[in-house]
Amino acid sequence: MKYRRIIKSLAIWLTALSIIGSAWAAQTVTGSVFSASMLVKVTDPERTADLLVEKAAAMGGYFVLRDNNYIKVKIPSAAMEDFHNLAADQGLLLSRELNSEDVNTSLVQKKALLKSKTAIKDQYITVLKEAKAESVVMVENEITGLVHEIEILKGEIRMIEHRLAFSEVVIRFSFKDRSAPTAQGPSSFPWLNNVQLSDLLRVFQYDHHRY
Amino acid sequence: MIITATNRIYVFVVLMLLVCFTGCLPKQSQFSTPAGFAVYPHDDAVKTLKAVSPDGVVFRIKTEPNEPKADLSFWKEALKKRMLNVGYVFVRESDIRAGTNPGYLLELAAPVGAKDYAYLIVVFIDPEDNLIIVESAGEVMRFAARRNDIISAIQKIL
Repeated sequence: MKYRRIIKSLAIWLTALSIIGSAWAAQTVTGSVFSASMLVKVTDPERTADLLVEKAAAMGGYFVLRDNNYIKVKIPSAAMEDFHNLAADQGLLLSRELNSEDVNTSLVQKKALLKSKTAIKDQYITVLKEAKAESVVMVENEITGLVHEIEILKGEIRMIEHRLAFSEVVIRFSFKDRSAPTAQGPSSFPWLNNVQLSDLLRVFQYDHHRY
Repeated sequence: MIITATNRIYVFVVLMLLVCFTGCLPKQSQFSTPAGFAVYPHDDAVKTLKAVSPDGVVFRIKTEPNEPKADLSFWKEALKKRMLNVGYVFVRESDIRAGTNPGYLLELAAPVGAKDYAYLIVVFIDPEDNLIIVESAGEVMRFAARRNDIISAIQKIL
């Protein structure tokens, strides 16, 4: 019972500590994860992909996925803009999308949680040294559980920090969605109903058959 | 050569026929087509001119009534909204001039079968208050190689 009281008071004290830690960390850590997706038309996708993978490596990045019409690379965030411009210069840029995700809150929370759980674990270790035989198993179980949680938190923090350090750039060489544009309904303006790529091409196909 | 009164009459008649012939040409004849494009024989009744390049880039000019009557800024917004709602990918837009006539140029892209196509649309309002609609399309890289010729031709259609 004595150990349970100690553990409870430790938990309260450390929760307070983690709140103070979070506030402090929020002021010192800032970060957004950036990602970009672009559609670039090129004459030779295979050769362009080779070149971009090579440039990514030269910039300190690496490629994650690759097929005939698609590459996904990770680029050091500081070099992302340069890589983005380089990719756009390889052909005709048809579309691009830039996204940023604020991971600040998540990172701060995980770091604060890691700090408090590490402190609790250290306290348990101190308690363990003085524990009587009947309490040792209980304290060891608590420590094992905490070590497991701490390792998970460390992994999550490493993952977020890696995402902060490396931006993801996806380059497609053709449209992913191959469905042709289709009108959901007629326009209020009659002439607009006749402005369609499929209609235009159909007219010329018909004329090709005639001549 | 002795110019007789009869010859003068012949010359006058020939000149008058030429003037009449030129003036009576369908409006489409004044439309220019991009360099390197072959023009299809056009049907005056439908007021359309069509041309195609050897690598399959197509070019069409047609006339539509300006109904409901609206100015270029109205059609600019209506065209862009319609095309993007339908699902085309926006590439770029700009103002364009054909002579003194202002127009609106919208460039889009879309998949067609296994290929990706560029689709250019230009709208003008001509002096007779008709809408002149120019469309051109082709596989993206082929179209890109001919884009400047297409724009140059459009700038000369009015």
